[in-house]
Amino acid sequence: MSIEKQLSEAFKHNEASLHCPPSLDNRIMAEYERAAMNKGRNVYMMKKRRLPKVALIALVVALLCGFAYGSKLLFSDSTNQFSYQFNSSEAFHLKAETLEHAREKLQEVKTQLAPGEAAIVYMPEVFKDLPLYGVTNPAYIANMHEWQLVLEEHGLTEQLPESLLEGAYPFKAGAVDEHPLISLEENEWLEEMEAEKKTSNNDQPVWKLADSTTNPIMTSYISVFEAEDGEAIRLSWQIYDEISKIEGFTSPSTEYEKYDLNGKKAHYTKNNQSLLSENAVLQSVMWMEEKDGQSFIYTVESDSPTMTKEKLIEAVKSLP
Amino acid sequence: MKNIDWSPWLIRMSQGDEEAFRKVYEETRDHAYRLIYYLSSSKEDVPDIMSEVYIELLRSVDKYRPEQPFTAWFNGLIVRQVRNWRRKSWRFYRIVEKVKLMADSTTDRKAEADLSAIGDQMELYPILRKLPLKAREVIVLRYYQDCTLEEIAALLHIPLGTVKSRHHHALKQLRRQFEQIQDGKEQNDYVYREATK
Repeated sequence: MSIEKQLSEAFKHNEASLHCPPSLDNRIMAEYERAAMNKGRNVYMMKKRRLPKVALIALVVALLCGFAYGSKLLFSDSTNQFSYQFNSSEAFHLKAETLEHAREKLQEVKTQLAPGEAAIVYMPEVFKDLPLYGVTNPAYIANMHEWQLVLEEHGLTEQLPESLLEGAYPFKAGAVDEHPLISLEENEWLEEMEAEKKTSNNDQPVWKLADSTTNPIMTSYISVFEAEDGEAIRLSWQIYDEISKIEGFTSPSTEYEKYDLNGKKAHYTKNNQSLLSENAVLQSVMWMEEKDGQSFIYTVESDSPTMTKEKLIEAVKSLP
Repeated sequence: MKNIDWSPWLIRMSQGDEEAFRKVYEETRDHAYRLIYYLSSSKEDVPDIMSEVYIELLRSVDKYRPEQPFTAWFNGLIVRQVRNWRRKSWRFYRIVEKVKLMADSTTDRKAEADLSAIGDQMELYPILRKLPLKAREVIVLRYYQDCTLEEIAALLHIPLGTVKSRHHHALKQLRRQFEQIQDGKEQNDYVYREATK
């Protein structure tokens, strides 16, 4: 019998016995109800739901990458359905010149992006196992009322403060940051970008625009508060409704302290090898809460050189 | 899939009519399930891709034009979702394993068990799975959906020459693999007879 005939018969033979299992019906109808509810008022929630849950973990490796594959546990925390673990490893400590080079290249790409665009940058010289880096240029909204409307459109009902630290840091702008996710495995761009790097005769970074409709992203809602002297504090929210676990990694030079803030367990870190912030030293206070089955991650951070740990902690305490 | 007039149902569905969605789902689910099953790289992904397909159907139903054959349009949507899922799975497969270990997947276990049982029945199935996705798409559309090569070219938005080439190479690969299996069986049979002499 010809292979064509065998194929046709095999498909025909299977048709009678291959049916959609009833267990999927409930799931699909539940998905429909959720999506239909969001369709009119909130397309962003639909988009977010379509992200693979797995993507979120990879991002942390790329984002917090001050960097990966830790062996020493710095801290861990969890809600009922979500857990977070932060590690450090000597293997990912960057030399000063490498850090400077990487930060410079990422910044260079960032300046070429239009507001709202994201890019994947090829930099194998930083870490052999992590050749690609995501960078974004968020589209900031300076009008607080407009920003609040955007947050509502995205289903966020958190109270946005008008200022931090009793008016010393008034609201400056807000943005939805859609950070591209990078796999630890090889991906389809890598070969293409490697080839491009080989044929280029300059030291310009090889990069390409990331498409948020096809590329998995991690979304943060960032509100920036700035004092008169330019010192800034960023308040960011992330929401997870499916993910089970995130693992983050950093250099051993990262300082860590645990705090009890208004009864909440909070984690302070000072990373002096931040790739993506404006200054290499990034101080951050993170805590998490669970509301209506969703996990909220709150971060208050600053890369202003004059910012103190005490002031950052006070900023967290002053939140509504 | 039944040959019915889909337009009224799809219009109602686009207007948020749940009954219309249910009707479209019930009429298409087995078709979608089989097509995803044949196209996807992993049986475990079938329920998740199925879910993605119907969310995408809801999102893009406004784009459907009544003059298009619904089956071809829907097949195109399924092919795209399988491709997208494959890309995601590939990028994040290490992490998928971690998440799956921790997530409660009881609802999908029965589906997976059903799939395993059925998959074993089809001799060509494991061979089919070894084909690259692009070749598998052509084979499944040609021999499962009975599409002509011209229809496949239109559905995948690729030149007819490319479809012919993929079809030719896929058949060649399938034929070779099938022959190897047949040879293997014959050899096993021979060894068995020798050993029992």
